[in-house]
Amino acid sequence: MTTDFWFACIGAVLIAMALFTFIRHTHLLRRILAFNIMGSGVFLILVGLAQHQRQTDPVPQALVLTGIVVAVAATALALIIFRRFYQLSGRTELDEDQQ
Amino acid sequence: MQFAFDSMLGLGLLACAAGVFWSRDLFRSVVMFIAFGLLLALTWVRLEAPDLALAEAAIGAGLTGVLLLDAIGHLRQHKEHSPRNHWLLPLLCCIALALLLILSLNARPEASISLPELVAESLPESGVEHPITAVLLNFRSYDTLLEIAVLLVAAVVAMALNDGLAATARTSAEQSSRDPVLAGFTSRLAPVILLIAVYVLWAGSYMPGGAFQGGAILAAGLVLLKLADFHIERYAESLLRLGLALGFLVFLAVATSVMIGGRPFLTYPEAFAGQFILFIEAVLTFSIGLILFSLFNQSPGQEVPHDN
Repeated sequence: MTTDFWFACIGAVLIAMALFTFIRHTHLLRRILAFNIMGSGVFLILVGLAQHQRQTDPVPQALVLTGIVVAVAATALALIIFRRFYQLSGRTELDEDQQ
Repeated sequence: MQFAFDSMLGLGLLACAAGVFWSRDLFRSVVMFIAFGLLLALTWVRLEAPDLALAEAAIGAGLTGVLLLDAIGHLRQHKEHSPRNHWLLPLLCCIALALLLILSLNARPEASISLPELVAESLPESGVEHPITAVLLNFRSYDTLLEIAVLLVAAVVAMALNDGLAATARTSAEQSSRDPVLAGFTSRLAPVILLIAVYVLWAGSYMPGGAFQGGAILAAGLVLLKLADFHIERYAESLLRLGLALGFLVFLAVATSVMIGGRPFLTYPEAFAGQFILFIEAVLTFSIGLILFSLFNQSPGQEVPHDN
């Protein structure tokens, strides 16, 4: 098992763990965290799989670099929307998740 | 030796992720998330992707961490652990997903073309020596153009959601409480941060570095200034708004102006490609820094929410 393939597998496990948290937890901040880690898992698969048993590949690396910057912008926007929601309603969960 | 290091790093990533997902305290989750970002930066080094390591350390661990800490600082209740009752079915599904993903990774088809060789072949025509910068700003510059557009949209939405009242009320209350040590330290650190950002941008044409990493460092410097109560954004609000759009507008102008000479959209004349790319990267760095900073700056205030 090469380094690249090992980290691609770690990425797959991270995606599954994040998805489980996303389903099970209703707190919006924890969902944002889970969403971020799911993205990191996808990045690991993208780079790890492309470089498995081959040389380093600048194309997926450049795509992931773009992805990291877009992910932080999306996270920042999600946090702003979450904080506005909290400010107006005082809740940290969506309506349909209230039991 | 390297195998042991890789195993530890991979298991460390999983352990940090588990800490993020299953700790009862949200503050602890966020701290684990920052640790996860730093381990991920190390992982990128192991995958021979130093550009990603730079970006992950500055953005994934640094900026996202600041944003999350700022967000939970405004929550009244940190210890919110609100799982649902049913967990067996999601757990089984997620284990099945992990197994399927690993199996399909193992059974992947062989690639019919070799992208690294194509990039290496065309590198002399791109105008820069570093393959990742060449991919980002020449071969796949469409992605980068759309990316800066996405960032701009995010900043605009953030500004639209912000009600100006909360921000002004907050800053006037904080005016008197500037920490002299933090302020002095930051005022000496700011020029160095600016210098590093410019260096990383310049280095991007022949070694790891470039517009995104430089922009992230610039944003980190601006956030630090803001935290030390230097409200630079208030001295030039209209200039700030222009700066947000500048990267996208300049990139679009360059991309379309080459069409006057009969070239397709987004192809640079070969003789000037290097200068074009450096120019675009410089404005992109400036705009990315400002956009990431204003996403931090536009966060809603901390007044007590209404009780329902």
